[in-house]
Amino acid sequence: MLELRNVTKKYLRRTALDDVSLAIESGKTCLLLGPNGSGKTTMMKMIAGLCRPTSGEITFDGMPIGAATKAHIAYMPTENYFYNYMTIKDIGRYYADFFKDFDPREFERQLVAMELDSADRIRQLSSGMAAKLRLALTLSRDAGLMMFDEPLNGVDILTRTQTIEAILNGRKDGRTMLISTHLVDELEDVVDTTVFLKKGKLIMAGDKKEICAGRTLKDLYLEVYGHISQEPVEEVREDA
Amino acid sequence: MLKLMKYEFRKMRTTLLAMLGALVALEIGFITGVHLEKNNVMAICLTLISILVFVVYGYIMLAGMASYSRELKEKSGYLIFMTPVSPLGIVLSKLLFTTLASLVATATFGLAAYLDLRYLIERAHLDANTLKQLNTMLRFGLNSNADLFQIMRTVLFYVLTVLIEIMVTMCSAYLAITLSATLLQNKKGFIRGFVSLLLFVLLTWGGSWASQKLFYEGVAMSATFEQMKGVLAWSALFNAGLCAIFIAASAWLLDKKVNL
Repeated sequence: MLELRNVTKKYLRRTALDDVSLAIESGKTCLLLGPNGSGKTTMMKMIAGLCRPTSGEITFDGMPIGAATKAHIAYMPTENYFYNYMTIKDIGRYYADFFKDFDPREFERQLVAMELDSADRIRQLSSGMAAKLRLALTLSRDAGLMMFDEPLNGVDILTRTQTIEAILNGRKDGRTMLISTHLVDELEDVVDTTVFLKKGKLIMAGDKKEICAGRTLKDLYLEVYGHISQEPVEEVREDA
Repeated sequence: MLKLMKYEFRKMRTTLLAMLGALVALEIGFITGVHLEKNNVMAICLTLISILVFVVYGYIMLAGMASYSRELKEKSGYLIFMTPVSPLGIVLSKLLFTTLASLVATATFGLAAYLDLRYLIERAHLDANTLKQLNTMLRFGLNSNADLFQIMRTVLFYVLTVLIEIMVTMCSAYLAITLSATLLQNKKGFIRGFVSLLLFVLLTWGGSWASQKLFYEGVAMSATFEQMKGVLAWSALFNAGLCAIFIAASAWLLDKKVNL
């Protein structure tokens, strides 16, 4: 189980997360929703151990975030984080060196599926190819918690479909998936729980069906972050 | 930690190969000078190799620090900090690699310089009398009746002491860099730079001052090695303790305050 207890993260003049408490059960696929600047990436980075909360506590399966939890948490950031001198094969070897749950054969399979050449250098990759590589690396780990930060951003429609399929295929019993996105439509049907963040605060969280109460997730998203027009649409008649 | 050191080597591989290339080129120059009997060519190559003994040491140390600083600021730091390696392991891997690489590079250049110098001495046909005079000068300079082996042991001891003092400087630099990237990350650029530089200067000067006060006060300038060896040993232990404290502090900051 992933738990956040009264987690706050402050920067110089900004509070990225404000007293957030949350529990995500094992085996659930959770959608983390919110506009830009709502704290989604900050939350994921803290869970991955890349930054520390200003106050509060985060635990995974009862362990505080640290070297021990990193062995069981796979994180796909939005940014490129590879050394330019590396090739795709080098990155695979790096992951194999440090993560016991990394499957090199699965990685090769993912590379083939995403049409990536292992001999390509990182500096030669386009942003879309780099995004596919990040996804391939993350999905090649058999981690207890997998986090995908905006996995559909900056990729074409075909790749977007591939990405969604790959993420869905990555689900398995006992594995928790945390996905942050603005693009609610594509993932609405596959999530169990949703978390809504707004300006660093937790607005609501829980089982998707209970929260939506008959509405679509997209409608709920628009209600929380914007406005839905309640006026009837005028019927347009075409003259014969 | 060893795996991280492997990747540190990969990052610095091109630089190290360039240094090796420079050494090979200078040795080829030296050997060419030998065959063509051009003393000035031999002298120039030997001088450059001798200078590079110190240059490679300093360069690798600085490159190591710059790499560490960069990783705490750039996204490539994710690669290291996402791995299940403790912050202490991360700091130690970088420090140890930088230290080992600089020592190996320095020793390689030093050995080449020594062998070339020895060749030149033999070539100059220095006789037994001249060598005896050199030995006497060395003993007089070190104010000791020790034989050559003991003198070499003394020199090695001094070199180790100096290396440990340099390690203190390195460790305080790593602590200053870590502080800048963690606790001071939210401060304005010039405050961050100023405070971390001030910390570096205070730690380095403070460690040196404390060592002087604790161990060297009352010790005469003309003291012999036999008189000094106890002082040097305690001073080296003290400096090793300082290194351990600075490394532990860096690891603590990374564990509690990391902000990539």
